[in-house]
Amino acid sequence: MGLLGSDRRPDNIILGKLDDLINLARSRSMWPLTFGIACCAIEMMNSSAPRYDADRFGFFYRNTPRQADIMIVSGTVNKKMGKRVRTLYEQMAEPKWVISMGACANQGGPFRQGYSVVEGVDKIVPVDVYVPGCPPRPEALLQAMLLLRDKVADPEKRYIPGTLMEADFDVLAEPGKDGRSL
Amino acid sequence: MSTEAAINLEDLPTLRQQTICGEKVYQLEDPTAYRQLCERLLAAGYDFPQCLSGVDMEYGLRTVLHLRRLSDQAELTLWLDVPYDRPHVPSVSDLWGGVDWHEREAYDLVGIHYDGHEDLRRILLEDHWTIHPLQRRYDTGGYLIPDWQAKPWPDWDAIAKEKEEAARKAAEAAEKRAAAAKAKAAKAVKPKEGEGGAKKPPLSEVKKTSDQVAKPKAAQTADDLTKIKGIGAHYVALLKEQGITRFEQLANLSDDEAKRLEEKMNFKDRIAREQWREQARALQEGKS
Amino acid sequence: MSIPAALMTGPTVLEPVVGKTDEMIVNLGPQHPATHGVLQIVLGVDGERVTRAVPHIGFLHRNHEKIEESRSYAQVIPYLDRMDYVSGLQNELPYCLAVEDLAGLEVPERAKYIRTAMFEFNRIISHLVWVGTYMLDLGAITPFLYAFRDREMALDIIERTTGGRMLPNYFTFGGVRRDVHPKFWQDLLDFLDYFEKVVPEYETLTVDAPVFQARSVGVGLLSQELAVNHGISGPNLRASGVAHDLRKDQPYDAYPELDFSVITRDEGDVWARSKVRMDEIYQSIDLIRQCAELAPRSGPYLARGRVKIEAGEQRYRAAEISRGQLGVYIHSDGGTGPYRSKHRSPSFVNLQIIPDLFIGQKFSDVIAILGSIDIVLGEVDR
Ligand code: SF4
Repeated sequence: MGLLGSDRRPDNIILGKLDDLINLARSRSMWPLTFGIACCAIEMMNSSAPRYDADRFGFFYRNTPRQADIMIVSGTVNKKMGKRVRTLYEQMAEPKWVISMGACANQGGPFRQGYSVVEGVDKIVPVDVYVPGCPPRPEALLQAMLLLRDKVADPEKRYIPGTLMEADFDVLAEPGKDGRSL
Repeated sequence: MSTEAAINLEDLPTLRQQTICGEKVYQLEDPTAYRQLCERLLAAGYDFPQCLSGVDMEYGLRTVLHLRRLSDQAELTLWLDVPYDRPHVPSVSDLWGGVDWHEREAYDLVGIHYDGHEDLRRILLEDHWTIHPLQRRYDTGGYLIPDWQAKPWPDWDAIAKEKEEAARKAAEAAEKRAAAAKAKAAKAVKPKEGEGGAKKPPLSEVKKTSDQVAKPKAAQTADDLTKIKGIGAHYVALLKEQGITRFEQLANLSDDEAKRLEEKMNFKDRIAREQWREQARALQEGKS
Repeated sequence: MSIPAALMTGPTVLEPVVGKTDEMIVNLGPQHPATHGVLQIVLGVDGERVTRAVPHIGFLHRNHEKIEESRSYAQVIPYLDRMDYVSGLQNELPYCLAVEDLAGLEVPERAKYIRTAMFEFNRIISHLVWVGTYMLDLGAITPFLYAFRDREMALDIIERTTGGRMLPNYFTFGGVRRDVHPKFWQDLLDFLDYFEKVVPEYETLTVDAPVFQARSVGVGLLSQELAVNHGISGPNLRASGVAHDLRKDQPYDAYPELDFSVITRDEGDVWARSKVRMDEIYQSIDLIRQCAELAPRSGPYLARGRVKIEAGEQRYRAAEISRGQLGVYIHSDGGTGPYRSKHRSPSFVNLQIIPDLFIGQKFSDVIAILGSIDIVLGEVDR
């Protein structure tokens, strides 16, 4: 496990890379963006409310993308909103991660066949953790956050800055008369 | 009711009144009278706009307005049908502020134009889109799985009868089997005789007859009529009732026959409008 | 790689007006913690005063109505939950009422009481979310924590009864989908005994708090005529002095047997709207108690019969959910599903009023007014 698993010497001296230290620090204080879209957002709010209390893991919601590390896409992304989701993602400072919460964000959910729904937010932004469910329980979101924490601290999966995925913007275009994307 | 007395409706000749499911429905045929009627309704105290919806009726577009009078909770429904090629309805958003966004929504999704509306823009979809997705002819194509389309109701009485029949048959068969088993048990005592004597027909003969039966059958097999644009599972069932299951039959319909078919099945010029015959001909040629 | 310019043709942007003082254009949303989802409002601000307000919706349009055209009557119900996801159960009722009317189903007595109790219980849950998020918008974090603590307990009861927390898919044509568990009524009463004692706490934190009163009294006035003409419903309408409540005016399920009066206030401002919601929480507690007392403890929970609807029949039915009048218009063509179903969602209609409410108000009051209307974007955009 990253720094903690590396070369330990007496007198509490640990030899390791500076990168690992930084990642360890990062993983213990991840700030998601307050960005609710649909029903799943209510469960996201629940997860930071008293019973589930995401704050104890260092997940503290920020209101602006400039201060956030994680974007939790909680709900159905439609074609009108898709552009805004991408813009928000680009506005976040690197390093940044994305959690896709709920069936809708994963692949379109119950609204998959519709004319205005993007079939999965991973067509627009790169997703690190998918949470299944409609809506997922708050515990499921907490587990996703912990999985992401492990991923951030893991040197093997270190975030490489500047590797933005090329989005497939055709999915945001108007469907043709027969319902398919133009 | 006092309402009808208060509103003078006599001079609106195109107004029809009917009762559907216990609800009083006013149907208008002439868009020009719509605005007049609405003004009178507002004056008669129908002050609370409940809902305005656009419906694609397959022969035109319909605006449905639901009003309520808060003083005595009377409800009222108003229909106005307009044809596809002139989908213009006078706007009433200046009478009731509450129908403003409903009209924009009906314009956006169903494609009804509300003349006189201050700000008739798309509301839910993006400004530059051109489709009106709640029209029936907007086909979600590859996105819909076929059995999404409205199916006719099952005939529950027939199903119940069939089930009874099947149960009775099963009971009979069980009885027969029991009887046969009894008989067999009785027979088993006697030696078998004469059974090998039953003649089987020669092989060539069997083949011939089966060929004869099979050939016309192949020609008669039903085509997949849903390949024709505009025909869904529901219409396939209807057409089957009329004995039409193949492209050839559809393609060879004369004008008269087509008209009769439309009347019988309530298609309302779909055959000509959606060019079923031409489509069927093309498909038939492609097949052979 | 950024987004191609051709795709960024967003909603119409206002051009600033140059006058005595220059107008400033402020964009609110679609990502803003106080818009409760994805609502965009473009505001023109002259100094401290709002001069123009143009709301843009549709960022959560999920084609409910098109999908419902191709579903059977029963398959539509789960989609209704997802319209107003804060009070999921309440959404199912008007649709069920309409289909019951069309199919001629009679709901058994016991099912009526179960539905009414659940309906009111959901109203409490929905108003709790409103308390929490609205106070959060105004800068108070404590009510959020209290409200969600109590909401969890309420959700537990819903989960034990229906199997789902938020989107339970529980009501159906002619009753409810599953029987309640034996301790259901006792569960409800236990919760109410606890909850009744904490509601005064909420009142102290909200409507009775001097800080809140300073921000809300006299702000965002909505006159009676404007409210009725714009079809505003629910607590917003009742706070403007109109005693219109479908539970009383067009009673459904067990409401005719229950004893209650319509809560109204005459002020029509933000404070009055909040106060009405607070009083409605008390009212719901009382109504559930009455249901628990009157409800038969045995008997069928689901009517026997089949849903068969003839071609050409149509029906508009509405019920009073926590945000106002939720209506559904069903048109049938004789198929197994609705030919067209249109939802008249209260938030969609209530949101139309915001330009009228905003213009002339102080810029800092915009959030206070918007939150007091209590919208859910899933229902606005459908
Ligand atoms: S996954 Fe389900 S709960 Fe979540 S946004 Fe989609 S429909 Fe709503």
